Amino acid sequence: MKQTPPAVNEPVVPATLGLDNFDNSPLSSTGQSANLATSSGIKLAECASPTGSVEESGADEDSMSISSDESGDAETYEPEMGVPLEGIPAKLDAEDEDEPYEPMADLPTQLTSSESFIAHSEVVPLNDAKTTGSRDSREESEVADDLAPELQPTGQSTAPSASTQLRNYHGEYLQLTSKQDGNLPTYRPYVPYESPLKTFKAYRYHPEYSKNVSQGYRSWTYSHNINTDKEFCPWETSGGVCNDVDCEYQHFKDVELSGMCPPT
Amino acid sequence: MAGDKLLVQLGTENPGKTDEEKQKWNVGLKELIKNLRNQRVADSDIVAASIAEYRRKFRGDDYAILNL
Repeated sequence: MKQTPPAVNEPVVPATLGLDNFDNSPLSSTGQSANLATSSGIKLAECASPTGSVEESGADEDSMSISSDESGDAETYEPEMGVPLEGIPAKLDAEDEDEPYEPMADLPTQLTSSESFIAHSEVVPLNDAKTTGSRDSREESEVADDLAPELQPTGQSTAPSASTQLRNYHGEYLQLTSKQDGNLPTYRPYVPYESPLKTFKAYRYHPEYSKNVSQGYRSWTYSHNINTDKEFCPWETSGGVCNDVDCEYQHFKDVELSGMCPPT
Repeated sequence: MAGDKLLVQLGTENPGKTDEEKQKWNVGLKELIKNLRNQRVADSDIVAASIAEYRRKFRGDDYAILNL
């Protein structure tokens, strides 16, 4: 932001030109330099009087009054001289010296990921983080999210009470837990274990086969002649009838065993 | 007999590991079918259940259904 030397261009530039539009052109008159200083943001001390301050130059005091009122001291021009800080509020600059990362929390549009993380932690109401709002309480709530409901701190509402004991006996305690933590799966009734070995045709040798399979040994699920390496006819799978004698695909009439009942 | 292929599937899956065990399975299966014929059992479900029970006794484990 250094200006060109004023001694070289000073006699060349005429005074009648509209010099307010030329930011970098030096000026001979102090009045024009005052307008230039306000428009371009150049430090007033460098343009008007290179040797001294504005108040010390007595002859140009009247012409400098406008620029001195608008600009005040030289500190007000510093933000314009440096890196543009248009999107950041002025109060963040003062807080930036003490805590560099603290102002970033005040900008919700720039940090969407951290905002969503904070919002997620606030959705799970394990602690009273909304009421306290402090950073320590928020960290405690994040730690408590990873714990099981029975391992959470005792200062919460999970302390045993009369209503909680009733919920334990009647099974309503699980529903209350699922409401507290949305990540837990919802309660579902007991489902007996089903062995994957039931998918084999050899399940017909199991002693409980006749009890578990309603069709018995005539079930097409277990008693069939399906070639697992051959594709079924697309005409029959789409609901049609295949009359092609030379069809290379597998058909339903070929997979049934003799005397078996049709599939239901 | 209806369901003859079912009975063939159940009977031909030999659970024996060695040749001796496979021969023993075949001998016992023939004996079973002979007894069923003598009893004039024509229901394929009864014959299939008899073959399954014979296999369980042969393996010595009711739940070892796969030939592993």
